[in-house]
Amino acid sequence: MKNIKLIYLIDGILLLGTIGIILFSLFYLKPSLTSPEDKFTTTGAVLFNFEKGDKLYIDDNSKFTSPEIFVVSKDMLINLNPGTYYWKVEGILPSEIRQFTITSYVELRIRETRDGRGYELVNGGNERLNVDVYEGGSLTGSFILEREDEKNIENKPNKTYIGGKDG
Amino acid sequence: MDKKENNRKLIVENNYWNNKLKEKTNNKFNNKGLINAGNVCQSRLLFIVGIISLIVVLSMPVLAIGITPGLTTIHFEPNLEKKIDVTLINSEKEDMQIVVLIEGELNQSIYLEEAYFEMKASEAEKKISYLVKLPASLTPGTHSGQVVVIQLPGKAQRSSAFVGASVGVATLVNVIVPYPGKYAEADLNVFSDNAGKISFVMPVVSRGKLDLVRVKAIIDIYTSLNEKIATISTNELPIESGKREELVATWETNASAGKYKAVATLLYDESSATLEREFSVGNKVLELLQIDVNDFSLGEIAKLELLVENKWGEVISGAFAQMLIYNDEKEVMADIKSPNYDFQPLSKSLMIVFWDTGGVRQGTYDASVFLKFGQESRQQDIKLEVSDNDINVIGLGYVISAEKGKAGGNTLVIVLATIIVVLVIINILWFLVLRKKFSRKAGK
Repeated sequence: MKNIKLIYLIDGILLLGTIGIILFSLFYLKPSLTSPEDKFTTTGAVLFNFEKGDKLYIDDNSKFTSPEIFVVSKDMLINLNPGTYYWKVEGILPSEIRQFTITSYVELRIRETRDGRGYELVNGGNERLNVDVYEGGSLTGSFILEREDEKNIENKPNKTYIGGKDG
Repeated sequence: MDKKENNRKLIVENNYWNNKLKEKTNNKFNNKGLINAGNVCQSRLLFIVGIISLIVVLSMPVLAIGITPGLTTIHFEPNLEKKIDVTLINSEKEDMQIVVLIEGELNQSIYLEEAYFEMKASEAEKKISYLVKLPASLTPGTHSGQVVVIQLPGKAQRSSAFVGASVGVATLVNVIVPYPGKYAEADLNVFSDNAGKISFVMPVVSRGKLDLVRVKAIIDIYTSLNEKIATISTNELPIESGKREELVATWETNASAGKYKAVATLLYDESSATLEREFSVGNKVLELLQIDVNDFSLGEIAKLELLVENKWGEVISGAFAQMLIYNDEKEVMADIKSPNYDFQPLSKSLMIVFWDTGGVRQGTYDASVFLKFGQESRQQDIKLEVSDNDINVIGLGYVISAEKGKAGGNTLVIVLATIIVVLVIINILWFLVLRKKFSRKAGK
């Protein structure tokens, strides 16, 4: 009877010990994602922060059929075009998949040029802009202003610059 | 241009405002408390005219206005009514007078809650709404309208600089009407890495009312002399109506660097469509790997060492780094450049830039690093955490375009793996061999 109890004790120790160590290993090895949180929404750059992984996958579909892959040493700030994206991290094991959204943001600003001799129009949003120029109420031209791009303009009271998402 | 001119009569002259608003007041809409731009009252109109007149005597530092989202997509349903919220951003924190107009093909289907209002300098943002009321039917395809928000020039608060022009932003409303039967809308994107692997990715949206059963593409690749040098196929898949899927194909090539053309024939059930895209093999790439700052004291000149890799198989000459550092208001507070450098093929080298931190306070600053060579410019956005004796660079990783091997393990991983293997062996030995022996002995 004593020996049978001993056998069961050894059974228990072995099974529980093995399961415990496997669970601990899985928990330890799985990359942990800090930011951005799931369903995060922004109009700007996204800071990716995580541990126990070194490859960051970003794609516009959750199947990751054509991911952009970043090898990351610590963390990474990425500027993406507006849209909904999925991200995950791989180390020894893959992480969970999270989603985030870059909301389309259109911003135009007129400011003095750095040399102070004129004025420029700046695309401060996250979209490529089609800017229409109106003078005295009539459309007189249009041009494309890329993200963070700037263009010298005429600073006249009857001029209006209207920017909208291109395409 | 003519069509736009018809659609977008945005006038800033006093007479135009007067006529435009009068016209709209006479013609349009008053529906469930919502108004079109025309329903601005006369006193408001006079106020706007007065404001515009003031621009010749008042000054303005910077005009800036933002709107988000810049695009709203609606899937067509007959007689659909949908209220849409957008947010105006007062990024310069100035008092603003705002006029809202509706334009484009759907201008008869969009109704505003407010056509004129003011924003205080203390209001960082303001939500405005508009109602989209769709007709019973529209032709298949995409139909657009725009809600245009114009910031009128106003009284200066922070500068004596004079801005006379007006600025406005537009948020787009796209209404997508499905095609009868089967219809696929596709794009062709080409990505290349430095190892000669070219990926073709075709996002395909099923825009018809019926599901697509079999969708695939055949891609022909041509040299710049129009010689076909390869044909590859993508995967094949079904796409439900209204859904988006991706077709992918890869081309492993030793082709020489240069420009090529891909012609993709999209085959979906009994129909087809053709797309073309030019692409390059072997792009010149400089990649920023690391930024180090040693022996730094706030207020002195910081030496930033940028470790840069030339991933191109040839020499890149005359490359330099430019770093723009922004303050809290997203204005450039420092614009610094390195000297010119020559990079040997597939080599790493340091580029040095100096930043005078006199007057800079502790804090976190956004920055953009540009690696420029020839006509190329590669941008990396980072954050600089500036403290008394250190500058910590946040946000620097690097991109690879092809899979590499799995990451290597560390010591703890090896230890854990060894323990698990040993435990499995002990379990097998115990349950298959030793336990039976002990049981027999215990039975005796």
